[in-house]
Amino acid sequence: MHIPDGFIAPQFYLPAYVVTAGAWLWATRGLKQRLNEETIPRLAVITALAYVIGMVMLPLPGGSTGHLVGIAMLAMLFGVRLAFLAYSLVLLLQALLFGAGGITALPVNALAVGLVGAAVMTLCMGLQGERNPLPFLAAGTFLAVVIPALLIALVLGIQPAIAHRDDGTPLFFPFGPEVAVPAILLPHLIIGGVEALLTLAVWRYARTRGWLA
Amino acid sequence: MAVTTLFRTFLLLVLLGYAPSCLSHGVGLKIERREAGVIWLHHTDDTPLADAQYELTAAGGNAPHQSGKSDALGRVVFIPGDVREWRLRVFSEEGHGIDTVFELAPDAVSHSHGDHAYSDFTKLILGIGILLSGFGVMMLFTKRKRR
Repeated sequence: MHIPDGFIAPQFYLPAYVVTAGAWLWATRGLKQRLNEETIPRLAVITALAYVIGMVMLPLPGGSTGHLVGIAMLAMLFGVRLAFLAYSLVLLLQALLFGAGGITALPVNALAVGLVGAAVMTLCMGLQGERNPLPFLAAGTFLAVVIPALLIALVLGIQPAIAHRDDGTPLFFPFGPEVAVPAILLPHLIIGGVEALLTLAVWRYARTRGWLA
Repeated sequence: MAVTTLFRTFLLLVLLGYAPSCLSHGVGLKIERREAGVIWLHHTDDTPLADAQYELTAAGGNAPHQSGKSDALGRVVFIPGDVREWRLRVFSEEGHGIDTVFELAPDAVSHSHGDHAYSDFTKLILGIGILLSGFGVMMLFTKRKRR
């Protein structure tokens, strides 16, 4: 779920950078109060885990490959703002070191996966109340993978309409939403399921360590 | 000469004159061996990136020199001619792809994109190191939690 460089038109990624810069500013507000000598090492380890699992390719049915995301466990342990910042850092490193996801696509990846993914997970956890948390964690993780995937598919799918030559040939990502949405969404249904298992494992570990509020 | 004979001759000449333009609607074919550039597209695990849409443009050019889909082995074959620098863009339906500029000299044997000095494993460790050291520096500026 990393959009590479050259896939998104400047008409889209430049405004996205402005929106993302605003979101980054919002996320850094009150950062000092939320970070202390206990949360920083945890955040470091879970961010590093998200970075690693994002680079490990999983074989998927149909010959394609995918990778886990890690935003749900970040949101579960640290909330939307810290998860968004940490995942933006992960995306930046993956782009700079591996070329996985582009610099021009960074704001779209960060907003869709980092912000929306974390918000979806936090919202689902907020719904649990006094009930058994496991179904909410699993559903939240699944949706935190699938909804950003859908958003990214839609962003890619509208590129032919945004930027094209006079003869209609797309200048950037060439497939419309009717192709991009199923091609991106279907593999992420499986990835969402696998990621739910990972998040539950992290939740169990975090609970035994007393990391959960 | 009768008028009908003249008319028939005229009609025949018109038809003969028209015939070549009818033939020009056919498709001609010429096959020859030429030196070509071969681009091999593959996933990071070295499986071929088959049936991926690509666009090959001479660097600095606006219109693509060649576009289409990679074959079953992930190959794109093109004849570079006098152009040395090319821009290749590859798009797969699931959002993977590449946008790169490469040079193909007339005497070049092989050019590999992504053939960097560091292996993926080294870069993975480097990334973890950057993250952990960054958070470590952050620890230095964080107040101790009151107990």
